Amino acid sequence: MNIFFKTENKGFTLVETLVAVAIFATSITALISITARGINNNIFVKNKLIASYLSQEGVELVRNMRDSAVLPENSVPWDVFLSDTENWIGECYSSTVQGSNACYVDGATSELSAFECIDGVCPVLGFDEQSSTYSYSVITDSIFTRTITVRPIESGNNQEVLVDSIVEWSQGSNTYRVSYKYNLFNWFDPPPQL
Amino acid sequence: MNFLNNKKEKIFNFSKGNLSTGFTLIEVMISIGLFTVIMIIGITAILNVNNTYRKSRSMRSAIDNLSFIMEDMARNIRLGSLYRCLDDENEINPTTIEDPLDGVGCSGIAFEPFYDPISGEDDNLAVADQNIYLISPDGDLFKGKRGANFTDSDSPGVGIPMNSTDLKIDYVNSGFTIYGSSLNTDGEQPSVLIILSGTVQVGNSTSDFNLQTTVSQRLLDYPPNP
Repeated sequence: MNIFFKTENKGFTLVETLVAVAIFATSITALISITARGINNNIFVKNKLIASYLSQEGVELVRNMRDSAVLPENSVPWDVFLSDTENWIGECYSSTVQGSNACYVDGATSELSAFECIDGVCPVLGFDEQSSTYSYSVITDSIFTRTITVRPIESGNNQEVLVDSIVEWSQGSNTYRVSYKYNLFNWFDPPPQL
Repeated sequence: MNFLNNKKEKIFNFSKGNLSTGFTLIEVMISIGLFTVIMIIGITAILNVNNTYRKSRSMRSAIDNLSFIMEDMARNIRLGSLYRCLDDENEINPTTIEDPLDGVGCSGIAFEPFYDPISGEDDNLAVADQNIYLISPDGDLFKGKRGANFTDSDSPGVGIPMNSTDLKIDYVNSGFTIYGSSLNTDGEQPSVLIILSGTVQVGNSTSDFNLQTTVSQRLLDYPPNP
């Protein structure tokens, strides 16, 4: 007849208690996990900021090499600039759109040169605590890996190339990446002479 | 009717039956105890979330500030020319500031701006309008045009600190490294390696950051400047 008052002095059953405790625990867990996520996101944002500037550095370095190449002291023709593995970006350049050549360039040196990433796997950028510098000449690894590729925009025409600088890092079980792209043209053909 | 009346009687008749006996002291104590424990746990959790939120908010604003400083420097230096390494504030006023100079880990950089909308001048020969970024030993990063009292905080000079108060730039490690600044002789396009290292103050704790980027001068180091 009256479901609220049909039994008078029974208290809670075990099942009822368990359900109540479970609901309470779930809500607290949700609260705490949101907090933890917030902290994690902060670390992610910081890493992403570092990665995006390292990635920008990648394209700037290649651009700097291109600009140096066309100076009259060097006067390097475009084809040589793209294919010379010794002084210019031959290690980065693939002659086809699907090419897989990749390279790494150290920003913290006065003489820029591009080195081959064997099988497309580039070394991890080092980080020097003493000078706060990201460089490849440092023993301590940072968490960032920078891969630079240079490919033509369309196969069979190398007058415009796409420079792609990708920085990857892992945080927890995830791998994140930031990529900057920059198009470079055959600026001076032939380049000025002294 | 009879049924309803019966029910009413049963519920509201406090003078007899089990309903009028109330709780025992033990029951009340246990229930209040449980309530207290649960509330303490719950309120601690909520306060924690609030604290973390405040921390992450100040962290976020500091990171925004850092990003702004880096972006501002990168864009302006890229479009500028005639980079000169500065070791301290005393090097701002001599006329040598107009000559490009390479340097490693300089605490400041002076450069000719790309275009000055106030004077309308954009040629490299316009003197005394160098843009300057300078890190002071106190850990502030100043931006401004060349002039007296660049970093003077008492009588505000030309330089304006770009960092917020909870952001401190490391004077020793941060700086500008300038390559190939000399004009038309080295076969090297000028570039600047910018390193920003320091700490963010978040509540009672600090968090370190280390940013690095390189910018390459957009103006080609050719043809010869006058």
